[in-house]
Amino acid sequence: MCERVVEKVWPRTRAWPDWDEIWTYRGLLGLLIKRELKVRYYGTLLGVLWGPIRVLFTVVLMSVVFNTFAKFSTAQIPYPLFVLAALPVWDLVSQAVPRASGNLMAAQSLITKVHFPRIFFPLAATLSVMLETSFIFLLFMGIMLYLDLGFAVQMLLAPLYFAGAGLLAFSLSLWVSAISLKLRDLGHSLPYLLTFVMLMSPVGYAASQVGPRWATAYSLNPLVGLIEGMRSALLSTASPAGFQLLSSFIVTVLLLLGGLLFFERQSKDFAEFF
Amino acid sequence: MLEVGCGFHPDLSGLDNVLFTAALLGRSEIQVRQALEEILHFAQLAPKLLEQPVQTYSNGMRLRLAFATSTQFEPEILIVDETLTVGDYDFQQKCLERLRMLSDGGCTILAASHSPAVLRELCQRGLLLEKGQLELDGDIAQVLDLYLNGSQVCQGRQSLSPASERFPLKNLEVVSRTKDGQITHQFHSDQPIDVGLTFDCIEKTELPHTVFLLNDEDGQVVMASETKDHYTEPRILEKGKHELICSIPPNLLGNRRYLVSFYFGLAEETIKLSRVLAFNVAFKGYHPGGLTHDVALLRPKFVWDDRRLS
Repeated sequence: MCERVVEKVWPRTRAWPDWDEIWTYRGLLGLLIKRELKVRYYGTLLGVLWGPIRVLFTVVLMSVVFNTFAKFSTAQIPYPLFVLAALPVWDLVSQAVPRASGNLMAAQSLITKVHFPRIFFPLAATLSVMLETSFIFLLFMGIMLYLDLGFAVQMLLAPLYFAGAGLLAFSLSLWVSAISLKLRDLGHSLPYLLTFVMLMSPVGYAASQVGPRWATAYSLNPLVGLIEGMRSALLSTASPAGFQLLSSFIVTVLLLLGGLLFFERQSKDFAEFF
Repeated sequence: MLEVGCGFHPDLSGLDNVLFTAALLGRSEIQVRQALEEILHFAQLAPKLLEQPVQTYSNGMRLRLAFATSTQFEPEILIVDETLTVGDYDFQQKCLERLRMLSDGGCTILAASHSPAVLRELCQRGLLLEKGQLELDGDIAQVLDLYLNGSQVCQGRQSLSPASERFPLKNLEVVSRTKDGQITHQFHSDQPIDVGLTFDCIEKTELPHTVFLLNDEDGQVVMASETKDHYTEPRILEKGKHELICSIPPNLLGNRRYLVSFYFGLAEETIKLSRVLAFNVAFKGYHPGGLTHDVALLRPKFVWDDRRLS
C-alpha cells in the first residue's frame, strides 16, 4: 500500500482579480470574443450588419420623434448626425451591459464546471461590443468625406472618449452581471432601466438644454461627460464643461474599482446560483 | 482538468468548439491544428463535418469529438462523469483503452459512473457516496462489493444469519481454506479450494437441499453445484455441530476474485445467502509464457490431441 499524500485545498479568497491568471488565460479571452460574435449572429441573414442596422434604426427613430414631432435645438448640426455622434458611447454601454449579464447567465455549463477568470464574461462582452460599435467611426469618416468637412484636431480625442465609454460599460457590466445572476429581477428590469438612463443622458438632446437648476445633479451621470465629449470630438461642438468631465472620470473610476471588488467577491459563488 | 463536452456551443462549428475546449485546457490554436487529424481519427469523424455546427451532430458524434479533444492533450487530471455509457460499444472500448493509457502515463482520473465494470477496469481507489455522505473510501474491489451487495463481502471466514425462523440450521459460518485446513482467501489455481459451511442442528434433521454458487465480481454466475448432485439419498443429520464441505477442484478457476453464495431449497421457500464470502485465485500457469493469463473466467486444463490426417 503506497502512502497517500493528502493536500487539502480551499477556494482562494482574494479581494482583487488575479491579474497573473488573467494574463495566463488571455488566449481564452480572444476566443470568447470570437465566439460571442459568431454565436450572436449565427443563423442571421445579415450577420454583423445587424450592428449598423441597430445604430441606424436608433438614429432614424430619434430623428423622427425628437426632430420632427418635438423640436430640439442642436446648434445647426443636422439632427441625425447629432444623434449618431452620441452613439459610439451610448450604443456601447446599452449593448454591453445586457450582453454581459446574458452571457454569464447562459454559461452555466462553463461556470459550474470549468475554472477560468469569470471576469472574462463582462470583459469579452464589452470588447465584442466595442468592435461592433467602432464601425460608427468609419461611418462618420465616410460622412465627413461626403460632406467635404475638414478634419478637426479634436477628432483625435474620440478614441479617448471611446475608451472611457468602454471602461464605463465594463464597470457597469461587472455590477449588473454579478447582481443579475443572484437577483434575476435585474435582468428583467434592465430594458426599462436602460431606457431611463438613455433619457437621462444627452443622446437625443444637448446637455446644455438641461436647466441650471438641475445641471449639477444631471452631470453626476457619467454618460453626460462622455457623450458630450464624444460629440464635441466628432462634430466640433463646444467641449463639455470641466466638471462634467471630472464627474464622468470620478464616477467611472469608482464604479470600476467597486465593480472589480464586488465581482470578484461574488464570482466564487456563481456556480451556486444556477 | 475538464469535464468532457462542457462548453460546447450548439451553434458553433465542430472546429470552433474544439478550439475553445482546447483553450480551456490551456492549449494554443497551433497545438490544436497540429493534433486535429489525430482528434478526428479518434472521434471517427470526417474532416468536412468540422465545419458543421455541433447542433447538427448526433449525440454520439458530439460525445466522441468532446472526448477525443479532452483527452488529446494528456491532462494531469481528468474528470469523467458517466460519459462512457454513451457511444457505441467499439468507441467505449476505445475510450477505456485511452483512459487506461492516460492513467498509466500518470494522469489522475476521477470517474463517476454507475457501471461497475468500467470502474473496476479503470480505478484503483473508490469512493462510495450514499445520500451525500461518504460511505466508504478504499480499494475499488471493496467499494464495488459494498455498492453491489449493500455490504462488504468478508474474506476467509464469515458468520451468517438467515432471516427465517423456519430455517433448521443455526449458527452458520462459512470459510474458505486449503486442503491442509488453513483458512485464507488467497489461493493458487493449482490448489483445491474447500468451502466449508458449519452449522448447529438443534434436533435431528434432514440436510436441506443446498446450492453452491460461484459468481465473478460483475455478478455473472460462473459455476453452480447442488448437494443432490452428490447425495442421491436424503441425508439425515444428528443433533450437534456439522460441516458441509464443497470442494472446488484445482486447475479450474482463472485469475480472478470470486464470490460465494449459498441457496437452501426448503419446502416453502428458498433461503438465499448471496455473496457471503470472497476469495482470490492467482492463476499459476501450466507453462511459462502463457498468453491467456488474465483473460478467462475459467482456465481449466483441457485435453489436447493431434493426429495426422493425410
